[in-house]
Amino acid sequence: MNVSKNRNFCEIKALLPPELRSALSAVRDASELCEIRLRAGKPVVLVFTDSPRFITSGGRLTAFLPSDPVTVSDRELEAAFGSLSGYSVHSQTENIASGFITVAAGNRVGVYGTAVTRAGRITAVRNISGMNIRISGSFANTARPLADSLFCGGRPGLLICGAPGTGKTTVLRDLCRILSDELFFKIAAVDERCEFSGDTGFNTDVLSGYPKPTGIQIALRTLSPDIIACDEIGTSDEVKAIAEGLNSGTGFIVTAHCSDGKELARRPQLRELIASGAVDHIAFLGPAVSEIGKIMSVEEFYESSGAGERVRGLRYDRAVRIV
Amino acid sequence: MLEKLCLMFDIVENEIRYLGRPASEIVASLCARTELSGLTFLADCESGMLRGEDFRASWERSLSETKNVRFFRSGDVGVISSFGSLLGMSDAEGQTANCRMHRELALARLAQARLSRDRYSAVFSGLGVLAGIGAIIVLI
Repeated sequence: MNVSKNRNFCEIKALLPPELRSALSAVRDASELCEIRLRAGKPVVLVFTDSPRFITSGGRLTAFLPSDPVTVSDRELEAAFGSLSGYSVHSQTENIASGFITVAAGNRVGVYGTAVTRAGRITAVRNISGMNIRISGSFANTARPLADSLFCGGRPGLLICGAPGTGKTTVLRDLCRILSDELFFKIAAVDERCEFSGDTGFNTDVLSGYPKPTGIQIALRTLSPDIIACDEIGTSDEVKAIAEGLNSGTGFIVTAHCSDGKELARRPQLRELIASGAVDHIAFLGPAVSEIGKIMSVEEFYESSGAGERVRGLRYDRAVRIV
Repeated sequence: MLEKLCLMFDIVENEIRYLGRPASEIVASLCARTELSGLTFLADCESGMLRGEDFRASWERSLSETKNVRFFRSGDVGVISSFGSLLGMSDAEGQTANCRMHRELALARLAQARLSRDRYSAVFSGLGVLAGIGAIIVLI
């Protein structure tokens, strides 16, 4: 049983309206629960690692859509949104316009509805019609293979790649903790989406809510970090800020949405990041959550995705799995 | 008390507009203000949230306790309850409008209360004078 996942699930459940809370009591063990999907007027869907489940009105979980599923009304959805946002929509407006809010223990809730736009930019979301509540969990020492293989002799730049839900943030958080507490690196974590909760290490400074380019600049100027950690790098501004930060001698550990080398080679911002010299190694996650898969050097990545459009079989120096 | 309520709405507006504080921190901040010391429902709401209660549930519960609202009329409590139901449910602009609207409602109730007080004080003064004259006549 994953204790942290169950604890996070209980904290989330406590924030939901009474009817939903009661229905979710059908989940006895949330270790394999990844998401709770709430859609106005539709059945509640619980996404487990193996398959989705529905909840019957009798309080049972079932893998097939029952005739009497527990559904979410507009009123319940609005109440859940208010409660999950801590009755502080005004302090999460930017996040909501970006499609999410962050709740207790770094759990992220995807939010959508009717967008309010101004000059082509989403400024607010009204009439919330659905939410995707992601249940996070910590896996102690999940980043051990990365720390042991890459950081004992220095602080190389590292890019951690994974598809959505593979545990990039979990691995990054654990890696910061190990590097901070065992190797005594000074870590600055730029946590734009406020997901870095829990144990990130005593030598880790967490800049919560800072946009990544600004956070990187502030960290470099004021915190003298050995390593800067950022989650979900994807824009040119972010890559530029990292490239500029290289001049200070600081190492970078970043994550990106990317399943494999082929996809990585197709992403212009990530190619730019690698070309800047900020990255010395690339680690791919999956298929199990927070499982470290291939670790390759940048030279190997270039070789594998080099001339020609076809990726000619990826070579890797070591594949490490979590037991 | 209604003056304190108006002050509370002003403070909340500033907390939201300039600091973007979440609802729980706003309540804690209000409790720390000595000029709002008579608004006992705030402390009750804060202690409810510290016990793990939802903000909205805590706000409503504290207003339902007679000891917290004995200086308010039912209409005044309605204004406070309405404010709590909308607090934190929209963006900063919406919240500012929420604070201003409820401040106007409280001011209107305050003006009405003052008018009633002045009217009744004149009536009671008159009754007092008549009672005094009546007492003199009886004695004579």
